Amino acid sequence: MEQGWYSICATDSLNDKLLWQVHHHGNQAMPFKDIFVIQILGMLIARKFSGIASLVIGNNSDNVASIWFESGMVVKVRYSNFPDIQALKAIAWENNGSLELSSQVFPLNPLEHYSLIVEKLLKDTPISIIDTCPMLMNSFITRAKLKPLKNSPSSLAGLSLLAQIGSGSQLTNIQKGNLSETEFWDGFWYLTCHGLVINSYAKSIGVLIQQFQDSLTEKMNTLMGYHIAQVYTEKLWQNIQHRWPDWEKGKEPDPIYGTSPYKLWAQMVRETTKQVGTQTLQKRGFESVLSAFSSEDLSVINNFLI
Amino acid sequence: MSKDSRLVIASWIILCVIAVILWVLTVNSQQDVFYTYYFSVFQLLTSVGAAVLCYRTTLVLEAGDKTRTAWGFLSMGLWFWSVGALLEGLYTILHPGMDVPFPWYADIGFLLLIPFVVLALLTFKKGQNVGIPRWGLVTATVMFLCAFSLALQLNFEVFEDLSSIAIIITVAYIILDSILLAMIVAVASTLAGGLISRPWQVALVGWFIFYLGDVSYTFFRNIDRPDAGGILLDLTWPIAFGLIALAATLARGIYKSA
Repeated sequence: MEQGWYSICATDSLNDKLLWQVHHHGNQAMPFKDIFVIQILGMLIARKFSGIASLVIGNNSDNVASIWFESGMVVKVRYSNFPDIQALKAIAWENNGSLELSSQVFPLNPLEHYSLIVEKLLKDTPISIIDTCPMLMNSFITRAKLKPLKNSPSSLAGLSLLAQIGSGSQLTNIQKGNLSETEFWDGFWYLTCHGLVINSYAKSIGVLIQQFQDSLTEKMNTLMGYHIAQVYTEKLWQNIQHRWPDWEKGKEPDPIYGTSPYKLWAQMVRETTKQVGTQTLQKRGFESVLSAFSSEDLSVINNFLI
Repeated sequence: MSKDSRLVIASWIILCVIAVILWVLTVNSQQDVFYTYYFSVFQLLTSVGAAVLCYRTTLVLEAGDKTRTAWGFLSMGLWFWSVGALLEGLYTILHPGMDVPFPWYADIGFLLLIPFVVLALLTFKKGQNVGIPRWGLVTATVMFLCAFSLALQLNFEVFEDLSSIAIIITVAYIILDSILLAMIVAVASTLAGGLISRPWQVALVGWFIFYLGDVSYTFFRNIDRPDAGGILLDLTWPIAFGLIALAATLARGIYKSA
């Protein structure tokens, strides 16, 4: 998404027509993948975000959606010329694109009946929606700050799930208890949409890519020496930061971008081998390290390396 | 250590032992021509052997890998030196009992080795994508200046007895040998552990022995006592090439098993 001045003409239910001019500097559109827009929305709610989340859906730069937030409450959703509910429904289950956040305070009222909108959205969503984003099953779920919920079957299922999540659990390991498959997913999506749980790949994919990097560095250490391994590690981090500036060294990347930071990490692990050490040894070391992973892990890593 | 490496070590030891025995048996006698012939063949065999093994190492490396180019340069330099050794050997056989004149065509081959070694070391260093540490640069510069001034000082007194072309070739040897020494030190400072450092450490020891042989021989030849170094000086080149051949087989083994 282009940076700089842009204006958004929007129809507001409270006001007639309002022209918002958003001036934003320094914000950068970063890719997101393997995370549903509805989950991004939930995380912004959880962190009480104020401003605009501009999304490019898929790889089409004309396919732009914007969500306005005020202190973690959804103010407005815009996608094509759809009104809020339809716009949210149209983008909710997209799991690939780019996201740009610009913080700003809006003197506007939040969207009314957000919970009802979510419930309606979930009602129309098949269980199989998870199959459109299979990587999500590798994500780790942690609880965010609990807040009062409206009484509904989805919220009750959600509360039941919260107990199972405890201090955190991989999505595949959350016990369903007495919940049916439908109730489980209803409850899970309800918690997600309301920002009551956070999805992160840090403890699954992050750990895997870290293992991948460590094994490769260890291999370099053995083959080419500590000096080369050290230069490699430094260059790798420089390469990552060059492409993902707000990723602080030694910290987990923002979970809002799904697996995108990890994909970049895996790719930089490979690309940096071309910048340090002997090419032949790097290539053979890389292949040897990959071959040591289980077929399941290997398929995840290879998927990121494409 | 691979089978190839063990074979190289055994062959070089046997060839050296034969050289020593022949030298002991024939020194200062009418039969010393046998030692001279053997030594000519020995030099040629070891340099050609090292050239072939360096080339063979390039074959296991990926196209575009700078290390492959480095081993290629080493091989090429050794081929030039082998041509020099062949010419010198032929002169010895065709003119029994006579010393090879200086300078002679063989010197072109001998001199051409060093630029290729320097290119090989530079390419290897570049291929590692690591810089030479400051202490390495300082030590290399100091070594160059010391080696250059010492060699110049040793040879300076005999310059007036040499022809201008002999002076030019002597100075060329002095400069190139000093550059070689500086490069050995600079590259050695970048070799910090790791399996792949081992062959290059062995190769650098080989080039250092080669440097000692070259410098000593240049001096002895200029004072008209080319045999003053005895068997020890004679063995410096075959031992140096033996170490380079060993380095090539060690590197090949590492690349193959990586």
